[in-house]
Amino acid sequence: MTASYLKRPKTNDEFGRQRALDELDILDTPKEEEFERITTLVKSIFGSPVVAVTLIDRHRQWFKSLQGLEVEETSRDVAFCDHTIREDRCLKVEDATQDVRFKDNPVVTGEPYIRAYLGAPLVTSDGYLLGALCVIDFAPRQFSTQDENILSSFADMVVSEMELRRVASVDELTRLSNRRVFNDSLSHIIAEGGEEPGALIIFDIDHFKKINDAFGHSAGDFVLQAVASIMKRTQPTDSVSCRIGGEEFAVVLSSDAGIDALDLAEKLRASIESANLVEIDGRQITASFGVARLRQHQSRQDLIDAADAALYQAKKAGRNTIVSA
Amino acid sequence: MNMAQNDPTEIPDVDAALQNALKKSGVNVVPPQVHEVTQRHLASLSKLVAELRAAGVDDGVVRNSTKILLQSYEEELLDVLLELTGDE
Repeated sequence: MTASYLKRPKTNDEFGRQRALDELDILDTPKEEEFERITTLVKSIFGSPVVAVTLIDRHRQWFKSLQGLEVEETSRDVAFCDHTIREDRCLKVEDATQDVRFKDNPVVTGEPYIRAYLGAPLVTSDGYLLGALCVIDFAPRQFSTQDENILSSFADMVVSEMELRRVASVDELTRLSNRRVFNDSLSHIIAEGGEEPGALIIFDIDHFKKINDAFGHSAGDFVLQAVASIMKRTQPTDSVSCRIGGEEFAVVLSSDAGIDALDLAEKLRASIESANLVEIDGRQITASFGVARLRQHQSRQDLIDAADAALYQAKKAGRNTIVSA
Repeated sequence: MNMAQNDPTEIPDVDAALQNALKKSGVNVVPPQVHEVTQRHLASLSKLVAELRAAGVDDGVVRNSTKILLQSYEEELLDVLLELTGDE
Protein backbone atom coordinates (compact mmCIF):
# COMPACT_ATOMS: atom_id res chain seq x y z
CA MET A 1 0.00 0.00 0.00
CA THR A 2 1.42 3.37 -0.93
CA ALA A 3 1.81 5.51 2.15
CA SER A 4 0.92 8.75 0.37
CA TYR A 5 1.04 10.73 3.57
CA LEU A 6 4.74 10.00 3.87
CA LYS A 7 5.68 11.91 0.72
CA ARG A 8 7.32 15.12 1.87
CA PRO A 9 9.15 17.08 -0.75
CA LYS A 10 11.55 19.64 0.67
CA THR A 11 10.39 23.26 0.66
CA ASN A 12 12.58 25.56 -1.36
CA ASP A 13 14.67 26.66 1.58
CA GLU A 14 14.16 24.19 4.39
CA PHE A 15 17.45 25.20 6.01
CA GLY A 16 16.46 28.87 6.06
CA ARG A 17 12.97 28.02 7.24
CA GLN A 18 14.34 25.97 10.11
CA ARG A 19 16.81 28.67 11.05
CA ALA A 20 14.02 31.27 11.08
CA LEU A 21 12.04 29.01 13.41
CA ASP A 22 15.04 28.45 15.68
CA GLU A 23 15.67 32.19 15.88
CA LEU A 24 12.19 32.80 17.20
CA ASP A 25 13.17 30.75 20.22
CA ILE A 26 9.62 29.57 20.72
CA LEU A 27 9.80 25.79 20.43
CA ASP A 28 9.15 23.93 23.68
CA THR A 29 8.12 27.11 25.49
CA PRO A 30 5.12 26.96 27.83
CA LYS A 31 1.59 27.81 26.80
CA GLU A 32 1.03 31.56 26.72
CA GLU A 33 -2.13 33.54 27.13
CA GLU A 34 -1.59 35.65 24.01
CA PHE A 35 -1.74 32.59 21.76
CA GLU A 36 -4.44 30.87 23.80
CA ARG A 37 -6.63 33.93 23.31
CA ILE A 38 -6.19 33.73 19.55
CA THR A 39 -7.00 30.03 19.33
CA THR A 40 -9.98 30.47 21.66
CA LEU A 41 -11.33 33.24 19.43
CA VAL A 42 -10.78 31.19 16.28
CA LYS A 43 -12.52 28.20 17.88
CA SER A 44 -15.47 30.37 18.75
CA ILE A 45 -15.72 31.99 15.32
CA PHE A 46 -15.34 28.75 13.35
CA GLY A 47 -17.28 26.56 15.76
CA SER A 48 -14.68 23.83 15.30
CA PRO A 49 -13.70 21.31 18.00
CA VAL A 50 -9.97 21.72 17.45
CA VAL A 51 -7.80 24.77 16.75
CA ALA A 52 -4.02 24.83 16.85
CA VAL A 53 -0.98 27.02 16.39
CA THR A 54 1.44 24.48 14.97
CA LEU A 55 5.15 24.86 14.32
CA ILE A 56 6.88 22.43 11.98
CA ASP A 57 10.25 21.45 13.38
CA ARG A 58 12.80 19.18 11.73
CA HIS A 59 11.07 15.90 12.53
CA ARG A 60 7.96 16.90 14.43
CA GLN A 61 5.04 19.23 14.60
CA TRP A 62 4.87 21.02 17.92
CA PHE A 63 1.84 22.88 19.23
CA LYS A 64 2.31 26.31 20.71
CA SER A 65 -1.40 26.40 21.38
CA LEU A 66 -3.91 23.61 21.00
CA GLN A 67 -7.59 23.72 21.85
CA GLY A 68 -9.60 20.52 21.80
CA LEU A 69 -6.88 17.86 21.93
CA GLU A 70 -4.43 16.81 24.61
CA VAL A 71 -1.10 16.36 22.85
CA GLU A 72 2.12 18.37 22.77
CA GLU A 73 3.65 17.19 19.52
CA THR A 74 3.44 14.55 16.83
CA SER A 75 5.70 13.19 14.16
CA ARG A 76 6.07 15.49 11.18
CA ASP A 77 5.08 12.59 8.93
CA VAL A 78 1.43 12.74 10.02
CA ALA A 79 1.15 16.55 10.13
CA PHE A 80 -1.44 18.14 7.86
CA CYS A 81 0.31 21.42 8.63
CA ASP A 82 3.45 20.08 6.97
CA HIS A 83 1.47 20.18 3.74
CA THR A 84 0.22 23.69 4.52
CA ILE A 85 3.75 25.07 4.66
CA ARG A 86 4.56 23.82 1.18
CA GLU A 87 2.61 26.68 -0.40
CA ASP A 88 1.97 30.23 0.62
CA ARG A 89 -1.79 29.84 0.86
CA CYS A 90 -4.41 28.04 2.91
CA LEU A 91 -4.74 24.30 2.73
CA LYS A 92 -8.34 23.15 2.64
CA VAL A 93 -9.29 19.54 3.24
CA GLU A 94 -13.05 19.10 3.41
CA ASP A 95 -13.07 15.31 3.77
CA ALA A 96 -9.74 13.70 4.54
CA THR A 97 -11.06 10.20 3.78
CA GLN A 98 -11.55 11.27 0.18
CA ASP A 99 -8.21 13.04 -0.19
CA VAL A 100 -5.43 10.89 -1.63
CA ARG A 101 -2.84 12.85 0.38
CA PHE A 102 -4.44 12.05 3.73
CA LYS A 103 -6.79 9.07 3.46
CA ASP A 104 -4.12 6.66 4.75
CA ASN A 105 -2.80 9.03 7.40
CA PRO A 106 -2.90 7.42 10.87
CA VAL A 107 -4.66 10.46 12.37
CA VAL A 108 -7.42 9.96 9.80
CA THR A 109 -7.69 6.17 9.95
CA GLY A 110 -7.24 6.22 13.72
CA GLU A 111 -7.45 8.58 16.70
CA PRO A 112 -8.47 11.36 16.57
CA TYR A 113 -10.13 10.56 13.20
CA ILE A 114 -9.60 13.91 11.54
CA ARG A 115 -12.00 14.60 8.72
CA ALA A 116 -11.84 18.30 7.89
CA TYR A 117 -8.90 20.70 8.03
CA LEU A 118 -8.30 24.30 7.16
CA GLY A 119 -4.77 25.60 7.70
CA ALA A 120 -3.37 29.08 7.12
CA PRO A 121 0.43 29.18 6.96
CA LEU A 122 2.39 31.21 9.49
CA VAL A 123 4.60 33.33 7.26
CA THR A 124 7.36 35.50 8.71
CA SER A 125 8.21 38.93 7.38
CA ASP A 126 11.17 37.26 5.64
CA GLY A 127 8.83 34.88 3.87
CA TYR A 128 9.56 31.69 5.79
CA LEU A 129 6.67 29.35 6.49
CA LEU A 130 7.02 28.20 10.08
CA GLY A 131 3.84 26.24 10.57
CA ALA A 132 0.14 26.90 10.51
CA LEU A 133 -2.89 28.15 12.34
CA CYS A 134 -5.48 25.47 11.69
CA VAL A 135 -9.01 24.45 12.44
CA ILE A 136 -9.88 20.77 12.52
CA ASP A 137 -13.16 18.93 12.55
CA PHE A 138 -14.12 15.32 13.13
CA ALA A 139 -16.81 15.47 10.47
CA PRO A 140 -16.46 16.56 6.86
CA ARG A 141 -17.24 20.21 6.33
CA GLN A 142 -16.94 22.86 3.70
CA PHE A 143 -14.82 25.95 4.03
CA SER A 144 -15.47 29.15 2.12
CA THR A 145 -13.04 31.68 0.70
CA GLN A 146 -14.10 33.99 3.52
CA ASP A 147 -13.14 31.31 6.03
CA GLU A 148 -9.69 31.17 4.41
CA ASN A 149 -9.33 34.95 4.52
CA ILE A 150 -10.36 35.17 8.17
CA LEU A 151 -8.03 32.37 9.21
CA SER A 152 -5.18 33.94 7.22
CA SER A 153 -5.66 37.23 9.07
CA PHE A 154 -5.56 35.45 12.41
CA ALA A 155 -2.43 33.62 11.25
CA ASP A 156 -0.76 36.95 10.45
CA MET A 157 -1.50 38.09 13.97
CA VAL A 158 0.03 34.95 15.44
CA VAL A 159 3.23 35.62 13.50
CA SER A 160 3.41 39.26 14.50
CA GLU A 161 3.03 38.27 18.17
CA MET A 162 6.01 35.95 17.69
CA GLU A 163 8.02 38.59 15.87
CA LEU A 164 7.31 41.22 18.51
CA ARG A 165 8.80 38.93 21.12
CA ARG A 166 11.76 38.34 18.89
CA VAL A 167 12.40 42.07 18.56
CA ALA A 168 12.30 42.38 22.33
CA SER A 169 14.78 39.56 22.79
CA VAL A 170 17.43 40.37 20.26
CA ASP A 171 20.42 42.70 20.35
CA GLU A 172 20.04 44.77 17.24
CA LEU A 173 23.70 44.89 16.20
CA THR A 174 24.73 41.29 16.71
CA ARG A 175 21.35 39.52 16.51
CA LEU A 176 22.30 37.59 19.64
CA SER A 177 19.88 37.35 22.52
CA ASN A 178 19.88 40.42 24.73
CA ARG A 179 20.10 40.99 28.47
CA ARG A 180 16.42 40.27 28.96
CA VAL A 181 16.86 36.75 27.57
CA PHE A 182 20.14 36.38 29.48
CA ASN A 183 18.37 37.00 32.78
CA ASP A 184 15.46 34.73 31.86
CA SER A 185 17.86 31.96 30.84
CA LEU A 186 19.74 32.14 34.11
CA SER A 187 16.48 31.93 36.01
CA HIS A 188 15.60 28.91 33.91
CA ILE A 189 18.78 26.94 34.66
CA ILE A 190 18.47 27.76 38.35
CA ALA A 191 14.89 26.48 38.32
CA GLU A 192 15.63 23.31 36.32
CA GLY A 193 18.14 21.95 38.85
CA GLY A 194 19.28 18.46 37.93
CA GLU A 195 22.31 16.34 38.71
CA GLU A 196 24.44 18.07 36.12
CA PRO A 197 23.81 21.74 36.81
CA GLY A 198 24.06 24.45 34.22
CA ALA A 199 26.88 26.91 33.81
CA LEU A 200 27.64 30.47 32.80
CA ILE A 201 30.43 31.75 30.57
CA ILE A 202 31.08 35.49 30.50
CA PHE A 203 33.72 36.94 28.23
CA ASP A 204 34.74 40.21 26.78
CA ILE A 205 36.96 41.36 23.98
CA ASP A 206 40.45 42.37 25.08
CA HIS A 207 41.44 45.99 24.45
CA PHE A 208 38.18 46.71 22.67
CA LYS A 209 38.39 50.43 23.31
CA LYS A 210 41.65 50.52 21.33
CA ILE A 211 39.83 49.13 18.28
CA ASN A 212 37.30 51.94 18.34
CA ASP A 213 40.00 54.53 19.03
CA ALA A 214 42.28 53.27 16.25
CA PHE A 215 39.77 52.37 13.55
CA GLY A 216 36.46 53.95 14.50
CA HIS A 217 33.16 52.56 15.70
CA SER A 218 32.38 50.84 12.41
CA ALA A 219 35.39 48.61 12.94
CA GLY A 220 34.30 48.00 16.50
CA ASP A 221 30.84 47.00 15.29
CA PHE A 222 32.39 44.67 12.73
CA VAL A 223 34.38 42.92 15.46
CA LEU A 224 31.30 42.57 17.66
CA GLN A 225 29.33 41.06 14.80
CA ALA A 226 32.18 38.71 13.91
CA VAL A 227 32.40 37.48 17.50
CA ALA A 228 28.65 36.98 17.49
CA SER A 229 28.95 34.86 14.34
CA ILE A 230 31.55 32.70 16.04
CA MET A 231 29.25 32.26 19.01
CA LYS A 232 26.35 31.23 16.79
CA ARG A 233 28.51 28.71 14.91
CA THR A 234 29.75 27.09 18.10
CA GLN A 235 26.55 27.34 20.11
CA PRO A 236 25.54 23.93 21.49
CA THR A 237 21.91 22.90 21.87
CA ASP A 238 20.23 23.84 25.13
CA SER A 239 22.30 26.96 25.50
CA VAL A 240 21.76 30.66 24.85
CA SER A 241 24.31 33.09 23.43
CA CYS A 242 23.87 36.70 24.52
CA ARG A 243 25.37 40.12 24.23
CA ILE A 244 25.09 41.60 27.72
CA GLY A 245 27.18 44.75 27.44
CA GLY A 246 29.16 46.88 25.02
CA GLU A 247 31.84 44.30 24.33
CA GLU A 248 30.65 41.72 26.84
CA PHE A 249 29.09 38.42 25.91
CA ALA A 250 27.70 35.43 27.74
CA VAL A 251 26.71 31.85 27.11
CA VAL A 252 24.20 30.24 29.43
CA LEU A 253 24.37 26.46 29.35
CA SER A 254 21.57 24.31 30.68
CA SER A 255 22.18 20.93 32.22
CA ASP A 256 21.37 19.30 28.85
CA ALA A 257 23.86 21.32 26.83
CA GLY A 258 26.04 18.28 26.21
CA ILE A 259 29.34 20.10 26.38
CA ASP A 260 31.46 21.11 29.32
CA ALA A 261 31.52 24.87 29.88
CA LEU A 262 35.33 25.01 30.00
CA ASP A 263 35.56 23.11 26.71
CA LEU A 264 33.14 25.52 25.08
CA ALA A 265 34.99 28.52 26.48
CA GLU A 266 38.26 27.22 25.04
CA LYS A 267 36.59 26.61 21.67
CA LEU A 268 35.36 30.20 21.64
CA ARG A 269 38.68 31.61 22.81
CA ALA A 270 40.64 29.75 20.15
CA SER A 271 38.15 30.63 17.39
CA ILE A 272 38.27 34.35 18.24
CA GLU A 273 42.05 34.34 18.39
CA SER A 274 42.41 32.58 15.05
CA ALA A 275 39.71 34.61 13.29
CA ASN A 276 42.17 37.30 12.08
CA LEU A 277 39.64 40.03 12.63
CA VAL A 278 41.67 43.15 13.33
CA GLU A 279 45.25 43.61 14.43
CA ILE A 280 45.93 45.86 17.41
CA ASP A 281 49.49 46.66 18.51
CA GLY A 282 50.72 43.82 16.32
CA ARG A 283 48.40 41.26 17.90
CA GLN A 284 45.18 39.58 16.87
CA ILE A 285 41.91 40.25 18.64
CA THR A 286 41.45 38.01 21.66
CA ALA A 287 38.97 37.60 24.49
CA SER A 288 39.15 36.75 28.18
CA PHE A 289 36.76 34.32 29.82
CA GLY A 290 35.23 33.66 33.22
CA VAL A 291 33.37 30.38 33.75
CA ALA A 292 31.13 29.51 36.67
CA ARG A 293 29.18 26.30 37.22
CA LEU A 294 25.89 26.66 39.00
CA ARG A 295 26.09 25.59 42.62
CA GLN A 296 23.25 24.62 44.90
CA HIS A 297 21.27 27.51 46.37
CA GLN A 298 23.06 30.04 44.22
CA SER A 299 21.01 33.01 43.11
CA ARG A 300 21.18 34.49 39.65
CA GLN A 301 23.34 37.33 40.91
CA ASP A 302 25.64 34.93 42.77
CA LEU A 303 26.29 33.08 39.52
CA ILE A 304 26.91 36.28 37.57
CA ASP A 305 29.26 37.56 40.29
CA ALA A 306 31.18 34.28 40.26
CA ALA A 307 31.64 34.37 36.48
CA ASP A 308 32.54 38.07 36.61
CA ALA A 309 35.15 37.48 39.30
CA ALA A 310 36.66 34.69 37.21
CA LEU A 311 36.71 37.00 34.18
CA TYR A 312 38.53 39.63 36.23
CA GLN A 313 41.16 37.05 37.17
CA ALA A 314 41.56 36.15 33.52
CA LYS A 315 42.27 39.79 32.70
CA LYS A 316 44.79 40.03 35.52
CA ALA A 317 46.47 36.86 34.31
CA GLY A 318 47.31 38.50 31.01
CA ARG A 319 44.11 38.16 28.97
CA ASN A 320 43.31 35.68 26.20
CA THR A 321 42.73 33.06 28.83
CA ILE A 322 40.02 31.27 30.76
CA VAL A 323 39.54 31.17 34.51
CA SER A 324 36.99 28.96 36.21
CA ALA A 325 35.32 30.12 39.42
CA MET B 1 -10.48 52.41 20.34
CA ASN B 2 -14.00 53.69 20.84
CA MET B 3 -15.99 51.43 18.59
CA ALA B 4 -19.29 52.63 20.01
CA GLN B 5 -18.84 56.04 18.40
CA ASN B 6 -17.50 54.82 15.08
CA ASP B 7 -19.55 54.44 11.96
CA PRO B 8 -20.10 50.65 11.94
CA THR B 9 -19.04 50.53 8.30
CA GLU B 10 -15.72 52.25 9.00
CA ILE B 11 -12.62 50.30 9.91
CA PRO B 12 -11.45 51.63 13.32
CA ASP B 13 -8.21 53.61 13.39
CA VAL B 14 -6.46 51.10 15.60
CA ASP B 15 -3.07 52.68 14.92
CA ALA B 16 -4.12 55.99 16.45
CA ALA B 17 -5.85 54.25 19.32
CA LEU B 18 -2.76 52.24 20.18
CA GLN B 19 -0.46 55.27 19.92
CA ASN B 20 -2.72 57.16 22.31
CA ALA B 21 -2.76 54.26 24.73
CA LEU B 22 1.03 54.07 24.69
CA LYS B 23 1.40 57.79 25.32
CA LYS B 24 -0.93 57.54 28.30
CA SER B 25 1.37 54.85 29.67
CA GLY B 26 4.39 57.14 29.30
CA VAL B 27 5.85 55.66 26.15
CA ASN B 28 6.51 58.45 23.64
CA VAL B 29 9.23 56.93 21.48
CA VAL B 30 8.73 53.68 19.64
CA PRO B 31 12.01 52.10 18.49
CA PRO B 32 11.95 51.60 14.69
CA GLN B 33 12.22 47.82 14.82
CA VAL B 34 9.21 47.69 17.11
CA HIS B 35 7.29 50.17 15.00
CA GLU B 36 7.70 47.99 11.92
CA VAL B 37 6.41 44.88 13.67
CA THR B 38 3.55 46.78 15.24
CA GLN B 39 2.47 48.33 11.96
CA ARG B 40 2.18 44.86 10.46
CA HIS B 41 0.16 43.66 13.40
CA LEU B 42 -2.22 46.58 13.16
CA ALA B 43 -2.60 46.06 9.42
CA SER B 44 -3.50 42.42 10.09
CA LEU B 45 -5.99 43.43 12.75
CA SER B 46 -7.65 45.95 10.44
CA LYS B 47 -7.83 43.32 7.72
CA LEU B 48 -9.35 40.83 10.14
CA VAL B 49 -12.03 43.28 11.16
CA ALA B 50 -12.90 43.86 7.50
CA GLU B 51 -12.94 40.11 6.77
CA LEU B 52 -15.19 39.35 9.74
CA ARG B 53 -17.62 42.05 8.70
CA ALA B 54 -17.59 40.90 5.09
CA ALA B 55 -18.40 37.40 6.32
CA GLY B 56 -21.43 38.76 8.14
CA VAL B 57 -20.12 38.02 11.61
CA ASP B 58 -22.18 39.76 14.26
CA ASP B 59 -20.87 43.24 15.11
CA GLY B 60 -20.80 42.38 18.78
CA VAL B 61 -18.53 39.42 18.07
CA VAL B 62 -16.30 41.54 15.85
CA ARG B 63 -16.06 44.24 18.51
CA ASN B 64 -15.32 41.76 21.28
CA SER B 65 -12.74 39.90 19.21
CA THR B 66 -10.97 43.10 18.22
CA LYS B 67 -10.96 44.34 21.78
CA ILE B 68 -9.46 41.10 23.07
CA LEU B 69 -6.76 41.02 20.40
CA LEU B 70 -5.90 44.69 20.78
CA GLN B 71 -5.70 44.55 24.56
CA SER B 72 -3.58 41.43 24.42
CA TYR B 73 -1.14 42.99 21.97
CA GLU B 74 -1.07 46.29 23.85
CA GLU B 75 0.03 44.51 27.04
CA GLU B 76 2.81 42.68 25.24
CA LEU B 77 3.86 45.79 23.36
CA LEU B 78 4.04 47.88 26.53
CA ASP B 79 6.24 45.26 28.18
CA VAL B 80 8.53 45.26 25.15
CA LEU B 81 8.75 49.03 24.90
CA LEU B 82 9.35 49.56 28.58
CA GLU B 83 12.04 46.90 28.45
CA LEU B 84 13.77 48.34 25.39
CA THR B 85 13.58 51.99 26.37
CA GLY B 86 14.64 51.15 29.88
CA ASP B 87 18.06 50.06 28.59
CA GLU B 88 18.83 53.49 27.02
